[in-house]
Amino acid sequence: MKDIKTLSYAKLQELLEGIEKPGRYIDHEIGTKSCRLEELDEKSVLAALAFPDIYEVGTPNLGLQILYDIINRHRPFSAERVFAPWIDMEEAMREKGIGLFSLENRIMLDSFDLIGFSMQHELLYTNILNMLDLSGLEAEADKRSPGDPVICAGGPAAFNPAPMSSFMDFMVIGDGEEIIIPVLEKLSGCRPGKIDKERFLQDISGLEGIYIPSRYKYYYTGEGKIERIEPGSKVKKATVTDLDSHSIVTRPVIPNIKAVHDRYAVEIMRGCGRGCRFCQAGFIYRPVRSRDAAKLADQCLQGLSGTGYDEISFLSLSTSDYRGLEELINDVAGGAEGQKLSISLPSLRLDSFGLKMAELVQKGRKTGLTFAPEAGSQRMRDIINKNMTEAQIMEGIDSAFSRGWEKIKLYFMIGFPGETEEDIAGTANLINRIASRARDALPRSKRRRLNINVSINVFNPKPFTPFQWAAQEEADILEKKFKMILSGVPQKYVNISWSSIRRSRIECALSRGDDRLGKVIYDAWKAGARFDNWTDHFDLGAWTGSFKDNKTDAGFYANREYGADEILPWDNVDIGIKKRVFLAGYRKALEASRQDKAGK
Amino acid sequence: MEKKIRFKFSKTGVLKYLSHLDIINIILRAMRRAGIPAKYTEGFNPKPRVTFGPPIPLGVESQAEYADISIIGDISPQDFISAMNEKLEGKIIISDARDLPAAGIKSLMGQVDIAEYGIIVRGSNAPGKVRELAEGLVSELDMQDPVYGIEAVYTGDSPEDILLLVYGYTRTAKDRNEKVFKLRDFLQGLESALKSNDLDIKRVLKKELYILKDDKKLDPFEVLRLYV
Repeated sequence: MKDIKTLSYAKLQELLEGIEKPGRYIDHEIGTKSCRLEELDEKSVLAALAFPDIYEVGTPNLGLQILYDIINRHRPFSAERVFAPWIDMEEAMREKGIGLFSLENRIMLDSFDLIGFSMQHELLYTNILNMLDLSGLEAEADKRSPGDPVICAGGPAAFNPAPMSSFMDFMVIGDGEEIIIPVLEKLSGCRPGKIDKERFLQDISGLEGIYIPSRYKYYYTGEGKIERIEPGSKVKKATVTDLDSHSIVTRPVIPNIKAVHDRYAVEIMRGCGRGCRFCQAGFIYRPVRSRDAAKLADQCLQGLSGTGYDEISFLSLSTSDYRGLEELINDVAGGAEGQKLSISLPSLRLDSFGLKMAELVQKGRKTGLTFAPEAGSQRMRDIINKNMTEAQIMEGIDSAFSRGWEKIKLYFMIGFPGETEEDIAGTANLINRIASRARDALPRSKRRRLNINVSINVFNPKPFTPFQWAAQEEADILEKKFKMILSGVPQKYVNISWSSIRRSRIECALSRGDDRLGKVIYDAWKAGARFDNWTDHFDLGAWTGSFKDNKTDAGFYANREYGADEILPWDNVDIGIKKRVFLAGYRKALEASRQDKAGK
Repeated sequence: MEKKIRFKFSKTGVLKYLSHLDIINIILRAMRRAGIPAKYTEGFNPKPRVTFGPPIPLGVESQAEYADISIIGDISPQDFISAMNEKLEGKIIISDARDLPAAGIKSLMGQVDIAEYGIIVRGSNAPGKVRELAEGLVSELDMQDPVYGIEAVYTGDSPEDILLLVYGYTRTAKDRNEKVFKLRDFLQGLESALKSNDLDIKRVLKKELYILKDDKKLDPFEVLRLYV
């Protein structure tokens, strides 16, 4: 057997004494696929798939499920999962001197050959550092020993690798499914004995999507902007050309405790052809790739009978654009007849086709609809390239509420480039008009059940969008805009929720940051920052202190408009869309904003 | 056709860290995997017709969990056991199952009077010390009412181990007793009493459930004979 450290059951029991939701830290789920401990030998390559959030959030993550499935279908590779321990568990672990361990075989993380972190968003960065530290590993790559596991990360936030580059041996940009096995093969080729990390990095450096931070050096000008990045070569993102060449995961791990999504999640399409100018997912996941509806339906039915889920969710960025949607719904619903299956369709457009589909899956009980106008005024929807007119919106509302829906969730953003108080008034007005149209469309007896939930988020300029140069609006102005909307909508029927402005600013700085932010993230973590995405745990002081200590300011990254000729921190990543295309989109948006003002 | 089945299952090892509700969901999903269609409730939000016995606290193992389920179709208890155990992949084990009469059966929650717990205590001269302790503990912790019985038996595994069997009244038995046996409280008291005697609790296991009939203890399967 391989020489690996594990945590004994006796120690686990001691550790879990008095811990909240101990089910987070055990395995015994249906669908686990790791090698058993006694099967591991010298040839085995052990990969830990680390999700820097709690079990309930991480387990349903589709990317994690896909990679876990692929690795474990390729022996001698074996993947195990690990999640961020909640605050109480971290305290207990530190107090008892017990390191972080995987769920399946309770292998101590520093016994793995490779640890791969999922970076879904920037507010998980401190959790990654914390998990490395709990594993007994140095967070900073250059301080780690040659015998330590290779540390890597992937996921949407990795598209700007710079902020986390000092902690990672390598990063994966783009789709992971065709990259992971070649990487593990290279790792295994650097055996037997201790892995020669330098040789390994050299071996994988040619693979598509592999970004090796130690190969890049950022130079800065006196005023703090990037002067040049060396070498000038770019890393091309990895792209799976044919989604159908990989079956969906038909035997996913089913969480034992209640997860954020307790359903069978299926990706029907990757990428989005819409081109909303604020939406990073809409660009980084291009080109649009669809699964074949007939094949997919078979796989869905297999997955449903293999998991026992009573709900299936068809995921994509724009479900209405999936060509075989009606066929897929009918095939899956028909194949599961008499089994009380419910189907959910996030990201539908609220037009006649979308409503027809929603009606198809919500037969009898109409649970709710989600709808994202994003901005209230036509002018602003043109600026952000959200292709939707007010007439279309109202038509959607009329037909939804006259067909029996009573609940709707609306998504808006504030702080877009060129946004004026009139646009904000436009958002409040639109909410008002939606509320009154919805009430009128409902029969009198049902009006008191009308429920409109409005979610308002702060606009974050993101890398690889036409708005990547734009400044995030200052906090005090954003606050004023929030208040305008709050006071401008009816109390009756409407509930408003919003994201934290101050947290959005940190998130924005991290997402547009350069490689100097590694130190800021490190110091913020040292000062106690973790679970930054959890409202109750976000510690603004830790962050502002850390920015200050490092003689920089979140505003430099968040609230500054980056120059069109400026070198951007993520310029060494190539997603297949040229910078000038984004710039043209940005200029078009600004043009739309100017023209409209002049026209008034 | 439809029928009802009563089954018994165990929840041991790390599964003790899962809540009652989690276990219910795991069993319902296994039924769907096994293709055993549950009968659903009528109404707006249909739910499978299944009832479980009294829940145990998080962190306590059990070899005596019971549930009654309504099933569409005809499946023998033996087939139910093997189909479910295959789909539960050894995580939860269904140890027994019986047909239930179509009507007239009280729910498990409304019927079970006593839960039996086995507590293994370890330490030097544990058998001797525990015998003395046990009686005193019941009165000391004011457990006289909720405890139906308590006995200490040798496990045969180790001379340092002794098994303490505790029979506690459940909520259902309230007409006999003012108080309901609370395992947590009992364990707390036991632990501190053991500590001063250099003894430790090694394992806590729910062993069986009983229904009292004419002062005889019948388990949830035995009681079914009364309905024949």
